[in-house]
Amino acid sequence: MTQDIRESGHLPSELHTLIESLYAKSPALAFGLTLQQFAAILEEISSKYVSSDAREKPGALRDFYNSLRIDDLVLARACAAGSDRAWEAFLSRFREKLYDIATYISKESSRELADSIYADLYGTGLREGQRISKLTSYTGRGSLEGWLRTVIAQEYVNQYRRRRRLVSFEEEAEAGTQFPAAAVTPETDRPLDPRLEAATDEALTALSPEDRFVLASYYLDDKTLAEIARMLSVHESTISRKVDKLLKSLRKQILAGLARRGMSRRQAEESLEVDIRDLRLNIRKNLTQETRVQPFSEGKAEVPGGQ
Amino acid sequence: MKSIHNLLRQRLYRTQKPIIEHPPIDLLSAFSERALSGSDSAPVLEHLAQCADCRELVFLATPQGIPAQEYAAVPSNPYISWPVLRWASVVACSVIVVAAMRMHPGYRALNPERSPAVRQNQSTFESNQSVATTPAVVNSLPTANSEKQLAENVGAPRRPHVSIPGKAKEAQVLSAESEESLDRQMVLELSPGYAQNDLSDLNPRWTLTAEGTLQQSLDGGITWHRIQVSHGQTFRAVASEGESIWLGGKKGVLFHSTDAGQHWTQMQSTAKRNLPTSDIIGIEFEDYQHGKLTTASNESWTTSDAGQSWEKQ
Repeated sequence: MTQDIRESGHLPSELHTLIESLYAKSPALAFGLTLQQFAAILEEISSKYVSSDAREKPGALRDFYNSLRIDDLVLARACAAGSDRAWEAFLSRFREKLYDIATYISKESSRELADSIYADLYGTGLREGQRISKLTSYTGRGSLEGWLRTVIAQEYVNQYRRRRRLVSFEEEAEAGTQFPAAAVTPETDRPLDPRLEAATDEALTALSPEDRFVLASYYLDDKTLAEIARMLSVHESTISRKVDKLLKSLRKQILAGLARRGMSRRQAEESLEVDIRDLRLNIRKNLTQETRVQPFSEGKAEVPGGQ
Repeated sequence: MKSIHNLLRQRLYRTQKPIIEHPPIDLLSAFSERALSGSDSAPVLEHLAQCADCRELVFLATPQGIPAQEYAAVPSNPYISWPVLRWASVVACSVIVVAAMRMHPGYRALNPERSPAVRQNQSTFESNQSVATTPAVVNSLPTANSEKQLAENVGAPRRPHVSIPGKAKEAQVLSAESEESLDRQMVLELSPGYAQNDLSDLNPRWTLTAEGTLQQSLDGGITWHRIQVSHGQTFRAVASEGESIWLGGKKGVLFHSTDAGQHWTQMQSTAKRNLPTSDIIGIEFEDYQHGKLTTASNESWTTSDAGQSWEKQ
C-alpha cells in the first residue's frame, strides 16, 4: 500500500482529485478508512475490472470509479477491516433484510441460512493472522444488497448440495467443484440428421448472448416468461414478443441452413417436422435424467415442499 | 411451429458447458441489477447463456417483482386492448373508403344505378362514418398513437370539399391492407424494445406530451410513442445525452435511464445526495457528467458527476 497516492506515479492529478472527492463524500473517514486505504481499494478493484488497454483511454478510470457504489463499498470494506462503527451501520441496515432475503430465497423461514452468511461475512478463516471476511470480495459494482442476495443464493445452493451429497452417493463425484456439472450429454439421443443439427447449431450460434440466455432459461430451465422478464427487468410482454420473434427467425434460419446444405425446401420442412416428432420422447426422457443427476434444478421443486 | 421447440431444446442443451469458470459473484449481482454497462454485461450474458448454475443463481437473487425504484419501460398504454384497436381500425378504414368514394368525381356518374350490394355497403359505411365522427367515440380511444392516426384518418371525411388527387387511391390501399396494417403498426409502436433494435441506427428523440408523459421517436420525429416510466408521475423536463436520459417532474421527482429508456431509476434524496423539492421544469446536460436542473421556484442545481450528486447554486 502506498503512503501517498500521489507517489504511486500512475495517478494523474485529475484522478487523484476524484479519489479525494469520492473519499470525502463517503463515510470512509467515520469508519476509520484512511485515504490511502481507500485509494488502494479502488486501485485493487480497477486492476481487476479495467483492462490495461482501457486504462490508457482518458476518462476510463474516472468513469469506472464514478460508476461504483462507493458508500456500499466503503461500508463493506470497513466491516471487513474490523471497524465496529461500520458493523453497527451494517447490522442496522441489513440485519432484518438478510433474514428476509434468506426466507425469500429458500422459500422457508431460514435463520440458519442467514446466520451461516453472517459467519462468512464476519470472517471465519484466518490468513496470516488476519480474519478473512467475505465482504472483501464485494467491489461496489451493483448494490451491496444485491451482492448479499447473490451470496445468499449461492450459499443456499451449496448447502442444498451438501445435504444432497449426504443422501446420494453418486453425487459425491461432483464434490470437487463448487458448481457441479450442469449439463450432461444425453445418452439416449437418437441421432438427428447431421444437416439439421448443423443448421440448428449455426442458427443458435448466430444469436446474441441475451437471446440464447432467454432461450436457455425458457427451454432448459423451464422458466416462465414472467420469470425471465424479471431476471432481465423488462416487461413480460417484451419477453413474450421476443420469444415469438426468435422462434420465427430461428425456423427461417434453420430452413435456410438446410437449403444451403443441399436440401430442397420441401425436404427441409419435412426433416424439421419428422425428426422433431421423434425427438419429443427422447428429450423428455433426457430431461428427467438430467434432473436426477442435477441436484440444482431439483432443489426448487423439493426443498420448499419437503425438507 | 410447435415442432421446433424440441429441436431447440436439444441443441441448446448441447451448448451448456459442464465445467467452466464462473464469473465473480459481484458481477452476477451487478448483472441482475442491470448495473453493468453493455461491454461488461456481454461476457456475463455469454456465460449465462451456457451455464445453468449461474442462471439459477441470478434467478434466485433477483427480487420478486420489479423493485419499487426501478421501472421497466412498459408498453405505452395499459388501456389499449386489441378489440378496441381492431374496431377502431375497421371504423377508420371504412370512413376513409366512404370519403374516397364520395370525393371521386366520377363516382356517381359511373354508377347511376348502383347494385343492391353496393347500396348495402354504402349504407353500412355511412352508419360507420356517423359513429366514427361522433366526438364521444373518438375521445373514448385513450391512446395518443391511435388517436393521432385516427384524427388524421378521420380528417378526410371532415374535409369533404377538398379534393386531393391520389387521396382516393391511398384510401383504397389502406382499406385493402385493412386492419392488418394498422395492427402491425401498433405492434411496432407498442414495443419500444424491439423498435429500438430494429432501428438502432437512428438516434431516439425524446419529448413530453402536454400531460407530462414521456414520448420517444425512433424515426426522427415522424411517429412518437409513449413510454410509461412510472404511474401517476407528471414530467415537465427531459434531457438526453447519448443513452443517458434524465426526466424531471413534480416535487423534484427525478428519473434517470442509462440505457436509452429501457429501464428507469428514480433518484432519491439521501444523506449524501440532496435533490430539489419543488417542481423540476428544466434539465440540461452539456455532456454525460455535467448537467443543470431548473426548478419552478427558480433554483438551479448542478451536477458534475453524471447526476450522482446535485448542488444547489
